[in-house]
Amino acid sequence: MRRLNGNRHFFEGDTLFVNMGPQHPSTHGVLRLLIETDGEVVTKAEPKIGYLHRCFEKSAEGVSWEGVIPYTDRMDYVGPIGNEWPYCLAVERLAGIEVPERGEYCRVIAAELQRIASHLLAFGTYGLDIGAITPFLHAFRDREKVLDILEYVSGARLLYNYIRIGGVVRPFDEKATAMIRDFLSDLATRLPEYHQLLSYNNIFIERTAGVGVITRDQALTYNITGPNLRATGIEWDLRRNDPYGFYDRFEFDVAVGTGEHGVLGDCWNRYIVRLIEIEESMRILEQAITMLPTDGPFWNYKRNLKVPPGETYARAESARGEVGFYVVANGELKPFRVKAKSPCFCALSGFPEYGTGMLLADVVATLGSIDIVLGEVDR
Amino acid sequence: MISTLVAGKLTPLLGTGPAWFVTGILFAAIFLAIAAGFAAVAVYAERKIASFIQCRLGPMEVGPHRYEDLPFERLLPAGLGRLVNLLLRVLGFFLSLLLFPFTRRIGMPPGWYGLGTLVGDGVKLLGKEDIIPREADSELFRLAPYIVFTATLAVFAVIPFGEGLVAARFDAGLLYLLAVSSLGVIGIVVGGYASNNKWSLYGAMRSVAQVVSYEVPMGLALLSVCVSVGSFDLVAVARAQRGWIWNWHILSNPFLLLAGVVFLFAALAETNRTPFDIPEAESELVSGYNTEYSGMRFALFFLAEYANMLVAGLVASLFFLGAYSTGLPYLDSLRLLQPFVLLAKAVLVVLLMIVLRWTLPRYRVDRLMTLCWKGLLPLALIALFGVSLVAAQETLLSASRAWKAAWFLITLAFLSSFLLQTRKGLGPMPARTGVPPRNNSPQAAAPTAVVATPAAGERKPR
Amino acid sequence: MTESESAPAATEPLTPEEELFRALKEEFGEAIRELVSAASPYIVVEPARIRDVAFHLRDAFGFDSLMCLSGIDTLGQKHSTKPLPPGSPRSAKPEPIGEEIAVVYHIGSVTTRRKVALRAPLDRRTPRLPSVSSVWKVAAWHEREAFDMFGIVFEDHPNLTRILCPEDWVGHPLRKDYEMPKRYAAWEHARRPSAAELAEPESRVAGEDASRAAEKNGITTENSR
Repeated sequence: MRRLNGNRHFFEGDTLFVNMGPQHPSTHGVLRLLIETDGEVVTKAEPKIGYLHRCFEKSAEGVSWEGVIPYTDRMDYVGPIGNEWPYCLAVERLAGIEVPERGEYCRVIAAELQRIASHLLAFGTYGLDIGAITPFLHAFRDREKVLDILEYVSGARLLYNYIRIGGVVRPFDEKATAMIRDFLSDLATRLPEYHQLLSYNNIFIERTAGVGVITRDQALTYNITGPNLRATGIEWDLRRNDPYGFYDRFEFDVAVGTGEHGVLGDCWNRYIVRLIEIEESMRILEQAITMLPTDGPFWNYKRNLKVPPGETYARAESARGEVGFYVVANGELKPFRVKAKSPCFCALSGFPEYGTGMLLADVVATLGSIDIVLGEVDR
Repeated sequence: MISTLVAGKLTPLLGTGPAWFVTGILFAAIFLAIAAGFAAVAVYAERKIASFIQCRLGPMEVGPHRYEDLPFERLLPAGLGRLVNLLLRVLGFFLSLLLFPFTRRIGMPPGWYGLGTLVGDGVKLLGKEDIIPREADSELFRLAPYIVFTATLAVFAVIPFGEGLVAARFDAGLLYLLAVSSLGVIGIVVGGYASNNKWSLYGAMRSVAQVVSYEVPMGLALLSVCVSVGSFDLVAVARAQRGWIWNWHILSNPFLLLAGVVFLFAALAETNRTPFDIPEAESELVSGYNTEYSGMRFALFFLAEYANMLVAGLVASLFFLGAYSTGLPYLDSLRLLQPFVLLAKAVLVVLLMIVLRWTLPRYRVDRLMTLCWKGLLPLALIALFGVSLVAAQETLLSASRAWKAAWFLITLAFLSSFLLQTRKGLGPMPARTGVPPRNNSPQAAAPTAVVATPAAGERKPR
Repeated sequence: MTESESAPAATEPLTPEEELFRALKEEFGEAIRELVSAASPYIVVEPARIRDVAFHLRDAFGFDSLMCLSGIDTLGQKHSTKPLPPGSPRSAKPEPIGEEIAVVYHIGSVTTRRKVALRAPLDRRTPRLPSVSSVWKVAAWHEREAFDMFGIVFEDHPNLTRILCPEDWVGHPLRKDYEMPKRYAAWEHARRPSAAELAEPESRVAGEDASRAAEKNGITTENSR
């Protein structure tokens, strides 16, 4: 009988090196985690990224100002509106373009719908990571409705190219607002179901509470933003703390970790912050569709846009945290330099620190709970 | 087949000489047919149940859409092909009558509710490329699925499907059952090791830990039944439950009810089903011990999993749910009915397992062990102790009807309170203590970020 | 965000950036070169002192998070990003800019909500400056990215390797003079198993090679150092 001698690194001392990914069901895309395990305990986890790298920053230097927007869509492909907005903010600031009121409201509506869709996806896939398959399909049923609405206004179901420089490409009309109303009343009945199905399931709480704790200091030094930061108890939301668009006109709470189960900054709190944010987004949407003007300009379109020399850094709160764009203009038809700051990139960089010293199953739970999208990490 | 040999060797019914060999083969063939047929139907049922839980339809398309498109008319002589199609239509009609309670329609819709997957899955798995990794230990790799499947099938030999309807009756039935059913894990270990894949190895190691641990409470739970019956013989266990429904072990006294619950959990773990499916936890270990398997070898693992569920269901029904007894003495004399009664009970247990799988998340490996050694094992010991006490009461004091009735009522009280508790757990959620309301007008927003204080009852991170 | 576009008169209150600029100037003197009021104002810092400035910003001013660290190559950037002085004629051109590779740090504070940008201009041929990964840990990956894309060398970095491109990639893609290769250069030189080795699996020379490579990869994990 042949012995297993082909792989000398199979048993190396007391620890085992395992490549988790790039093809692995729970690395959410093509992330590779190089983990060193001692039995079931992971003693070291090193994220290896770049499998989805397109170098869109290079491509952006060769296309028109408008032409960059589809590239930004492809960063965080499950929440593209959150990337389009900061880029457009940066360009509008450099070019001095004003966005019409109707356009601003449409942006808020689209961004909040997107946030709901993205968090629903995070909810579903997190269930998958923990081993519950059913919540995933329930979440997709509801996410489908958001996609229908966004498809109705933008024509696309995934990569919308909806927010444009100076406004939006099409406004939300009466049919769209009716669809949103339907969706909101539907979702309001679904959320308790989700809590029942997953959030307060005892096994789920056992799996997530107190696991993968990110402390406040870690969150700040790794610049972890968005729900992951708020789960540590820090109330920091750009929509409130550095308002852009019309966010200062809406009543909403910043969701922070509740600490109801586990400790602040653990997987369960990161998870529950997303579900609370869905509720807050619903509140914003309800206000926005009543405040939305029914007519008037929605897009201050500039043909052959030439942006005067200048540079700026604009940021916005996407579903995953602070997406920033550092844009340098050279007075030409195309950008001189576009640099995207990705919240997932920052969050993942801290993974060796907060994602080790735990069981393999906990690594999966922690990785799922920071809700990374590799398209955004690798850009 | 081991089952054949054992059945032959140990059955006085079958006598000696060449006859036992033939009968043994016959029994083995029947069990194989039951296991394989059940696996096919259970896969379909599982897919349909899963889709029901997940608000979707599940398989709806794989089945005849237009009979004219089926290949029979092209392949067979004209008249014969049309006849086959006609037969299919008739079959579909009767099937639709069978499905009427679920579908509320008569006549098969195009696609036949995806019933074609029953055949399609099998054909696909048989036709798939059979890959053996180059660095794998190929002999062991090929051997593993057969060990798993054989061990599962061998259990059937001692299960009495009816009065006198048992392949192998012998006194140490329980010991045989425990011994043989735990052989399967050897196949899993061999497969996981031979694959030369770290995920497979992890799956195998987890499987050993899990199965070996859960053998203990499972054995104790079954043992308490045997204490109550006074025999290791499975036929005696079945016979003890004839008559009225309160003779069923699960209802006959509260300690056996407890043993039944312990057995159900242990069986879930033994069959590697969610919430205890850590050996193949797909989000952690890709697919666990069967990661490298494909085609028919994978199908054998798969078949064994479903056959194992059926075995678990059969054992649960045999030991706790009255075996082949209907609970009404008048019906028990119908011998023809008995195998179907037992199978129906087993299927109900399997359905419960399926529903659990699609509802619950997965346990973590250390929690699983905690549950076993700190949860189920003490409970099983309590059950065993209690059953011994009851048995002592029956032999030493009296076994009068009054005693029996008292125990039955106590059991009912326990059962109903347990069910009520479960119902409460499924009720509406407590109100979430979410974001505290605060003045959130943007003007009033503080210039510095508010750092929320952790709520009371904070737990330390592990 | 609309920052003051012109230098304010002495009577006007200072913008937060100017306050910060003065404070830093007092602390570090010549190392703080100038304050450029672009759409997002930035402070030009002597590259060699960047880590000291970063530490000071973090500890004395509460800038607890590094929002973004970008490299930029100004080759071909015709104009400075400085706005023209007010009242200048329409025909006036912005001042030309030198060819440099720069690192731009966008720093923010969650507690005080302030933001500031630093810029460290570097020599295009040998871009080197101290790493700030000891100040904000997130900088480790950002700096690896800047190293990958621009070839900027960060001194005292815990693990300065490529992050987004493959480890054997040639060149730094975001440099303006980078030429897009038609082929994957490293792959051209990679040793491929010969036909004989492929035909005879038992020899497993290629397999040994691969396993040794994997072993090497596995053991030299980057965090171990």
